[in-house]
Amino acid sequence: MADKRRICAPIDTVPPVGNPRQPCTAASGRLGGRDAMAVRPIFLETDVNPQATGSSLLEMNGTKVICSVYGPRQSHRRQPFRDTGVIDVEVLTSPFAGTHRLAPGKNAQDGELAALVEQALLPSLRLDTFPKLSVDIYIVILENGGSVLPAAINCATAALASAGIPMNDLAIACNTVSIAASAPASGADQSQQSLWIDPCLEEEASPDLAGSMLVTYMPTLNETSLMISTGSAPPTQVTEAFHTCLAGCLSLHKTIVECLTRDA
Amino acid sequence: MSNTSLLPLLSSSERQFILQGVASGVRSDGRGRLDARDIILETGLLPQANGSARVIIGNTDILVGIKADLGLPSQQNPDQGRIHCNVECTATVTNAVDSRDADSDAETLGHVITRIFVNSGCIDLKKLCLIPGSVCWNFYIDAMILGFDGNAADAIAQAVRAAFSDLRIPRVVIDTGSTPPTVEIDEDLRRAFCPVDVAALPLSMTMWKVGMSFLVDPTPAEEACASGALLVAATATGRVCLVQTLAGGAAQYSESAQATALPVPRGESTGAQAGAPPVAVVSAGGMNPHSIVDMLSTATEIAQSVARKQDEALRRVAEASTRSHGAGKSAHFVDQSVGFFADSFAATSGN
Amino acid sequence: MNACILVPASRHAPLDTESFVRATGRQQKAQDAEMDDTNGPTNGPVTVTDSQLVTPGEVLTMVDNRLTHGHCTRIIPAYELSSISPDVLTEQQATPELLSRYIRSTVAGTVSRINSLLTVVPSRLPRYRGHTGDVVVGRIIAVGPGPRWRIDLNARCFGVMRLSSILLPDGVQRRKSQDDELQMRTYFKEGDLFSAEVQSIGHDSMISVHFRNNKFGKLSHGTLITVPPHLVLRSIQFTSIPSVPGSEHNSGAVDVILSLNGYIWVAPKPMEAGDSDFSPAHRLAAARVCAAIRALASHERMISNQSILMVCEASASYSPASLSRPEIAAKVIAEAIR
Repeated sequence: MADKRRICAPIDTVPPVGNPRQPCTAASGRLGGRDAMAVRPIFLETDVNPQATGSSLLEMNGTKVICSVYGPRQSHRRQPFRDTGVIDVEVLTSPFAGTHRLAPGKNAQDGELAALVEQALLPSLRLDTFPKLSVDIYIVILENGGSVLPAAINCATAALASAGIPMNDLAIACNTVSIAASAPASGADQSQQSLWIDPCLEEEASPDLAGSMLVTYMPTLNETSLMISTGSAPPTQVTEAFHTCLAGCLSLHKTIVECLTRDA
Repeated sequence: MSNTSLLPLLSSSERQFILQGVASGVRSDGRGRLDARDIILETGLLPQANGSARVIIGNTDILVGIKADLGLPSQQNPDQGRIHCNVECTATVTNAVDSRDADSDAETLGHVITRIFVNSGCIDLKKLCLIPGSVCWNFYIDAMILGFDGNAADAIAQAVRAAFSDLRIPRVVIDTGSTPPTVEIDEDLRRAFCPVDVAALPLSMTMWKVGMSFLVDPTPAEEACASGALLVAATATGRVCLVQTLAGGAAQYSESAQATALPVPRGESTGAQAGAPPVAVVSAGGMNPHSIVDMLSTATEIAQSVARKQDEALRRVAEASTRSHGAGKSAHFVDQSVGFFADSFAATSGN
Repeated sequence: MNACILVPASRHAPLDTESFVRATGRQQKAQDAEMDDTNGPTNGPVTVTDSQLVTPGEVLTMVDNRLTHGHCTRIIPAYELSSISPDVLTEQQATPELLSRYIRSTVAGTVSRINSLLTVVPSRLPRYRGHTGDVVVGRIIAVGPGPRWRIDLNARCFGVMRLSSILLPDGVQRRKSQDDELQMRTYFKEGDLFSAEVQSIGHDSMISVHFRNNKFGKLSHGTLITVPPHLVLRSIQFTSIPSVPGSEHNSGAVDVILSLNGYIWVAPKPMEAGDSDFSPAHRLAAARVCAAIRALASHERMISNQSILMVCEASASYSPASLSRPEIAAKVIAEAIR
């Protein structure tokens, strides 16, 4: 039952009452008065883990992700013969990452994140340059301040680049949320809908949330490797959000390239 | 799905044959790119579940059961009911040696279904909450893949939608007078009702990118040649609930094997830009943003028409069952070519 | 086919045991032709009639000198039976010695009596067993270890193809050297399909195949269809349909390999060797052949050159894609049989 290796809280304790974070509404606007199209400032540093082949730390205000890349090396899993390499992505969310403490160890959400990160990164890598080998990517989410999946993808891309793995292009991810002025009823006309790029946690938890979109884009190849859009909206608004994300990816791409060249 | 266990092993010339067939508009079984196989739909098969449905496309056989019970709402959303989606694909269906390979495919599908039905907001979760912070309805949607013949995601979404139409939960009486407030279930099953507006539920249509063209309803061999897919879930009214890119089976083959020069697709070719070079190299995985936008509108239209057809089939099923008072209701729901509406449905009443 | 308890009985046509016995009887007769052929009916209580359905353990008849019991039957020796048990036929207590004089069935199936040979034909016919000289289509599963490939033949266990038994692509016939072993993957790799002949069957029922002549080899640009092996008629295996009935005039020929292990290969015949560009009409013709074979298989009919042609003719007014619909397939098969 109890995990003997860790110290668990006494059973009759409760977390302190009162969450100072208030979710943002359409009326209140973005947290800190941020512009709708403004991406949070990024701090990206590579080679933070000297033992790994490549590593990176990405911080965007409240979101901190660290990624280590090992390989190409012998795969620890028995694989059938392949003339291409494989990647193995593992994501771990630390227990202190969010407002509520998570149980230590992997949970179902980490598995989902890992599958999506793998899908986002796969087309950008030149897998045929390391046949029969595998590149292992370990992502740890230290703090979840919103937009954690794009942060994980961008961090992993930077780590892969710093590891010297041959890549076709950098896979850059960006996400938006769409906030409706009225409640998102299924038939109501969405006349007042605004798109906020790179949402933070309060914006993602907004009661006026109508949908969200995440896009991972590779500028040189002009290809999208991952695109998820949730929420109920007419196709025109989905297309609009898509183009907004692409623009965000392009601006992020410039910033990340700057960080990588500065560190190199 | 990129996992090798569900998809067959193919030789490179078989793959080339499929790619060229799709490019020329004639697939291995004679269908066109936008022709779907027949869909057989049955509802009300599981007497123990609150709602159930079965969808059969070719040999893809999906059985969905929805069970409802009362439970505690989550801490983050104390005024909402909860819906849990789960997809199971056992090794009996695949030729996987290990059931763990099959499980990872099933997990991906489970996440997709959660996004389509739960995260889209098509089901009003607030209506499912009886006493905020204390009692709410929990729906458990469980999908079993009994057979796999390609296009599992669409089949599961159709089955879940049909299962929701079959869902009946009992009425409850909330006694706010007592402390703590109690909930009493009305035992009279004839007053059971469907809590969900089925017409507003979405249906998914996955467009698979094989070579330079897109097709619907692939066979496992075609999925194994696909470099990616775009899943679009839309309601009958045209609202898009989910757009997601999926990985195709081609990810397991090396790029050099895929860099076969393909002729320019004859006839309808969605996704080819004006001024594209005549001979193109297929890349592994990514999709051109332009084609995504193109595909979005096509897929939305197709999903809309399939949703309307399913609504019609479900309506016939409901009529047939009220006539026969049978426990099992089934409708033969035939979808011949999604380009135009097929006009023959055979509704057979319960067994 | 998946057996699912929820499938309503009307969805699948009931198993046609007549066609089963007819289908296999032909093959059994050929195999058992040299069996001892005592004339005249046997005396003694033969309690089952030909084509009767039996279950495992059911008594067929009493042991008789003139009766030979064949496949799927067994006489349980006395020491395996418990001391006293009721006699099935006379419903009295019987000793093991008495009970051991019955021939019993070991499978669920139909009884087949040919002259003095009593066998039971199982309803679920087993996987492909293999006979030397059979033409089969296989797929490479693994390369090595050693100078051999592991292949999938739709049989009980994987088959094997040795490096010494393949034909080299340049046509040269020579002993394969160490270099050839290192280059095995360039000849055949995982996933490749090929047609071959069964060379031998090991004592552990592992089938070994070889290329007897250059008719056999790697297969390319076509579709593989899997059918139950017992439905493939043992006659001409490599056929080419010059003009598929129901398809456009001059659309092209379609090659079919009716391999006896159930892996049927359908490919449009290229104009010149190595050409891989086929017109849509040509592909539709091949799709029609595929659909015909699938329709025959789902209706438990024997698949042969003749039957494929008949079904294609009968399906001329339908498109190949619509042939996969059960009601249309049933109509077409019924028409073809007439």
